[in-house]
Amino acid sequence: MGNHGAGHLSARRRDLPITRTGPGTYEVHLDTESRQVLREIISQLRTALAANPQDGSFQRLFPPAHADDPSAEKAYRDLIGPELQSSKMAALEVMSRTAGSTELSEEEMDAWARALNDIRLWMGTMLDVSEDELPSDEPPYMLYQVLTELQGLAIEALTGDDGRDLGDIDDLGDIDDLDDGDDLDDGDDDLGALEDSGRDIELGEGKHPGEDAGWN
Amino acid sequence: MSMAPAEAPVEEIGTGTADRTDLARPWKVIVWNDPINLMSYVTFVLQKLFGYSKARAHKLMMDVHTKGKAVVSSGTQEKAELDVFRLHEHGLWATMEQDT
Repeated sequence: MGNHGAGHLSARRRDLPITRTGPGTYEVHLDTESRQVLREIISQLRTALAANPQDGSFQRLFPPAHADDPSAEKAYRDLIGPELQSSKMAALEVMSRTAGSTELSEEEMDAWARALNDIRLWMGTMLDVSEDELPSDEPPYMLYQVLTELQGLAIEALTGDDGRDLGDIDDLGDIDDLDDGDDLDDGDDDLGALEDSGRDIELGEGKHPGEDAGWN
Repeated sequence: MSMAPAEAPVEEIGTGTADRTDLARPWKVIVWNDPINLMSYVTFVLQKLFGYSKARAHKLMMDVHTKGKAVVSSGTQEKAELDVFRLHEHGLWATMEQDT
């Protein structure tokens, strides 16, 4: 599974853009442009998902429950498909609504983690990412990478690992050079990549189910 | 490295042909490796959904990562379906199959 960016920001934990500040309370420090990029990518996903949830780009958002039994799979899909989609839409809606917030509740932070994951599943499918290094520093890959880091920070905050577990401080350096040593909430650097990427979020047509043999 | 779900005999589930013995056999829920879900996220989700300790969730996550898959829960068909649904809600690649 993916491990891009794990520990990447650990050395500068005091500057983390997502931190837990108390039981069930979280702080998010991102610049205005980065927050707008988040809203835009969420909007794109929600629009595409509402238009055609059967699109091949969503195969990882709705994986099969019964890999070897088409009839059971159809029954599962008929039963839970709409509910699964609305659950994912709800998390995206929460993240979109709170994309400008500095303080988040436990439920909102959890929604961020799930929404970021679905965005990455969607983008990662279209970009055909692997566990290896990302193949390109083109804007969509940069955006994917930054979203990966952001989700990693959200998970660290949710699991209480931020600022306590410094064990992965040496686990740096296996990702592309997004980090030039400045703070994340300084719009000129790391998440500047998010801004730059967000201006050109053109991911192309999604694959159709079955085209991507790697996951089937 | 992702791995395709293993080929298994097709079970006639939900077609009315299963007898009591079939129904009594437990189901297992399997999470498969994939290149997108973060290791920390998989551990987090397993703790959150199943109440596993961090150590147990981490062990299962590492099984997924290194062996390609892991059985993360088991039980009745209804329980397995609910578990798969909740895993899918969180974006994990989960399938269910009946014990043979």
